[in-house]
Amino acid sequence: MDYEVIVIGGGVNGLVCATLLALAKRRVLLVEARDRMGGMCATGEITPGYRVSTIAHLIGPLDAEVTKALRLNKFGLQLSAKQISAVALSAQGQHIVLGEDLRNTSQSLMSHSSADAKAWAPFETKLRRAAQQVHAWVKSPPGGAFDVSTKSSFFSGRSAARASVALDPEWASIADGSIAELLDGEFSTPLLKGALAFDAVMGNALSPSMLGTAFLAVMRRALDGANSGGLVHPQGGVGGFVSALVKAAEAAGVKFKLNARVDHFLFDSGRLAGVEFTNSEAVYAPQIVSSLSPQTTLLGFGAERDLPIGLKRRLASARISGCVSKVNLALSSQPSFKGLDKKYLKDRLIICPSVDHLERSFAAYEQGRFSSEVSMEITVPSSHDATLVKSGQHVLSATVFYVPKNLASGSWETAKAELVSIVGARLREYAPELPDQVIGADVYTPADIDELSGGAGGHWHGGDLSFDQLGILRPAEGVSRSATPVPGLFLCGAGTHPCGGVTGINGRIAAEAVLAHLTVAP
Amino acid sequence: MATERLDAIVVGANIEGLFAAAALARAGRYVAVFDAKVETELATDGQDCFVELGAVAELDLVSHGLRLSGPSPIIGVASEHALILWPELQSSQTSITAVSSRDADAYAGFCARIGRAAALQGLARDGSLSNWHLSSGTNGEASKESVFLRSCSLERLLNEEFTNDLLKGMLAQGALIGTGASQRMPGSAFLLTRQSLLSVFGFENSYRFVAGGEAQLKRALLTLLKFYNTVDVHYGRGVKEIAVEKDIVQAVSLIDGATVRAPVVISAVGFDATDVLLRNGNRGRLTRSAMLPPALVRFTTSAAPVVRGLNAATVSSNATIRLNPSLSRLARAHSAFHTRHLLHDYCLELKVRPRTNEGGALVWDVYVTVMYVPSATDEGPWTGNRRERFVAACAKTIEEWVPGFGASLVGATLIQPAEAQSFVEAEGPVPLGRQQIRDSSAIPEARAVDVSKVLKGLLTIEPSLFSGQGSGGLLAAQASGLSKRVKAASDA
Repeated sequence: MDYEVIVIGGGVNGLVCATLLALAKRRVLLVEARDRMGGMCATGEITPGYRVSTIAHLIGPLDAEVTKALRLNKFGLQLSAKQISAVALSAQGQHIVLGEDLRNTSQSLMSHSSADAKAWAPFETKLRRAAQQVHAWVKSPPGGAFDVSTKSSFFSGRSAARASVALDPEWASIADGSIAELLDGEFSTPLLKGALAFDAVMGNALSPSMLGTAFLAVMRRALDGANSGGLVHPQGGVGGFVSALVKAAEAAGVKFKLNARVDHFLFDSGRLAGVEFTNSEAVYAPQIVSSLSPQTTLLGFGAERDLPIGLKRRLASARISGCVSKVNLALSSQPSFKGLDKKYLKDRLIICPSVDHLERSFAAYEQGRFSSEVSMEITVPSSHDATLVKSGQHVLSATVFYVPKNLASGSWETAKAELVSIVGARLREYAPELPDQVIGADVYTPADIDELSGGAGGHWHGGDLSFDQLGILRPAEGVSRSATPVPGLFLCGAGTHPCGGVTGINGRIAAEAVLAHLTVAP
Repeated sequence: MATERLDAIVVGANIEGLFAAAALARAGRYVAVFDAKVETELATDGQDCFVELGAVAELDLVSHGLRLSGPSPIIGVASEHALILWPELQSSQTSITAVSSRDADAYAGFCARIGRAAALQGLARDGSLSNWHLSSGTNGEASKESVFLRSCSLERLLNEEFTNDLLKGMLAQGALIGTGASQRMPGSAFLLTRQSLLSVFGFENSYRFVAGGEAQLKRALLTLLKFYNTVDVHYGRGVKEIAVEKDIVQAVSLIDGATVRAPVVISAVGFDATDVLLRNGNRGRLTRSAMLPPALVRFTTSAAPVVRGLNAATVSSNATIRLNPSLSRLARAHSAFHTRHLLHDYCLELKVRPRTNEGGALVWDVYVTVMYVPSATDEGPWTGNRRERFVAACAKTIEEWVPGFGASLVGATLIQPAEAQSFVEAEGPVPLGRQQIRDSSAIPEARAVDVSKVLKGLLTIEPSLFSGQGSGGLLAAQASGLSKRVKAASDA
């Protein structure tokens, strides 16, 4: 056979996995349905001259091992100079800065509540300490390390991650509960609680009062841990990041096949043998890694015949429906938010005035509508990267939260305009002139994201991050740690541990699993 | 006896309160029970109730006059078919086979799965889901299933197991009733392991109807208390305040001005009502309740209600009848509840009991439990007009399933959620806690008894209005450390 491994899907995890396997001297073919690499990571044009990252808007926190192994800096990756903080926007201009520096936050909280200002540092310190305990779990295959010594020694110094980790009992019971409950016990400022709850649940079809959402706050900080660069903006948009990944893959010896949409798997005497594309072409390899959703991979390509019925039902019942919409705006000039220093335009600006706002928009979401009070996270990529637009112009990127994939009434064709006008109205409360600066808008609904990502539900994280879909239960009991019940078939997409996001962890964990599976030396 | 130093005070002479008092009495403790209601009011509240067989046996209530009915089925009716679930597995499967043989097969596995999870409940309750995940792989397969059931949503579990909408709907309704939780809430699947439901799944049939309802159960408990003679039950004496000094419970003050001291206070009126009784900076320090009482409507009819597709005998045989429940209708009701709106057609649960009225005529009481009813709505409070419309809407929904129901109606009473929760007469209806307006992450029965960690000597019991009763009181007595028998004077 020509190849040892076929990787399906040229998104970040597919690229990372393929490159790591090639670096381990395996013959790898990466197949991609579309005419470009990158998957959800791409830089597009809103209107001529206004370039912006289409879906994924920030990268990171990148897996340190991946960055190091792939030598991405050598292949032209340039990141924004500083880690991106968050700012909870206030319609009255009393913004709260949520970043690395604890004193900054305390200071911006003073105008809201001196008690909260005082409570911030101890709270955030406790949370970060818990996050350190979770860090090893997030970065390792769940359920203990693979039982291999030499084959994946490629990644040296990983033994520390093998130790079982645990939260202090006090934190464990807090993390089991809801983020709303946790915040209510600590703070009184609605804006602070709203922004922190938003950051915890964003992208999940979970309300902030649901079980386990406090754990998400810990998990997020674990991903943001000190060992990674945090959230960053790549030069040239996320497309710039993909270019560096593609160069790294090419240099490592990965072969590419574009415009190749997989139709089904090929089996030879019951053993996985390759894939056939929709144009009836076929390629062969005994190992296949799919970065598509676990559902598409295991239920859509002919592998389902041999799967246990219980597993099929578990996969089919998993909650993977998207609830985030992306709205990108082309702006004629620099946006100006009430009372916000221009330097904060480089940060993530969160519009979520309170936990109750989230609750109400979640209720609307449950009814198949989007609320006029949608929450959102805004970035202004052009404030980092002058190459995206002409001088003086700007692009704004907003992830709009609790937007249903399927509307209870009407179609997305007409509702898109309504969503843009709601986003505009919401922005006007914080930046009165902003809607008048808009000269073009792009909207990606959860249904669009679903389609772009190959029909997996369009979930921001590849599936709700609830305890029944996390860790060793992700994507489902019986399919975790990248391996599937089909020998030779592996998963590496956002639907696997730990979650979605542009981190490369899923791809790296899958590469390790494949290397452990390959018994013949390269 | 009044001169004796009290060992404990029980607030609320409801079922759980009396069970707690009885357990303490049996151990030779001196207890005073206070309740704002007068005894005659108590004798007439007629809602049927379940009681836990274990609790009945523990206190030997049968020899104090309690009569129990046999096991009862849960019936779901939809436009095309009806399903009858019995505590006995094969009968349930026979009924399910008529609509889906695939679901009938799955039902046995499902019951076993819930049973295993319930058996692990005690074990799992001590462990944390976060830490299970962080150290997963070391805990074995059984815990994997238990963790899954503790963290997955009802909707996910039921869709995974079954195809029939009626079956999914009736199981979900039973699990969710009284919680205010959504079927989409992670962890809601675990509600299926509530003791009160396990009998439906063919496990130890631990809950039974009390013939004659709550009034009979109270009568038996009061007979028992008279027998031990160390407990005084004071009706018509409401509690105004639970006095706390330096985080230690000292006494209760009554509305009539008296102060009664005891080292332990067991409050059987629930977390929220208890919170109202705490003052001087102690308010808000208790864990908020996760229970949301459903609205209760009691209709009285002059003719036996016949549910379409069911025979009359089945209807009045202690059965619990759920009218056209489905996951989608429950989801709609929950989101209306979430946004504090009333709907016109809720998923109703009925129980029908014949009785002879004051004039000697045979009438039928139809007890209707309506879940996901907000205690206050955005349109305004529960005033006369709104109450009438709510009751009329319920009657209309029943009419669709019970032809001629409206014509045979002779009376209706409504207890809306806030009223169902209020036991503290002096304070008026207790406002529902914030947790109840929103989804709650708590599994109600895991919090049935709460020993206050901040206020020493205070225990609260969440009164259970719809599921089994008795265990809360017994657990509270146990948790107080006073249920171990002391050497009573009579033993000497």
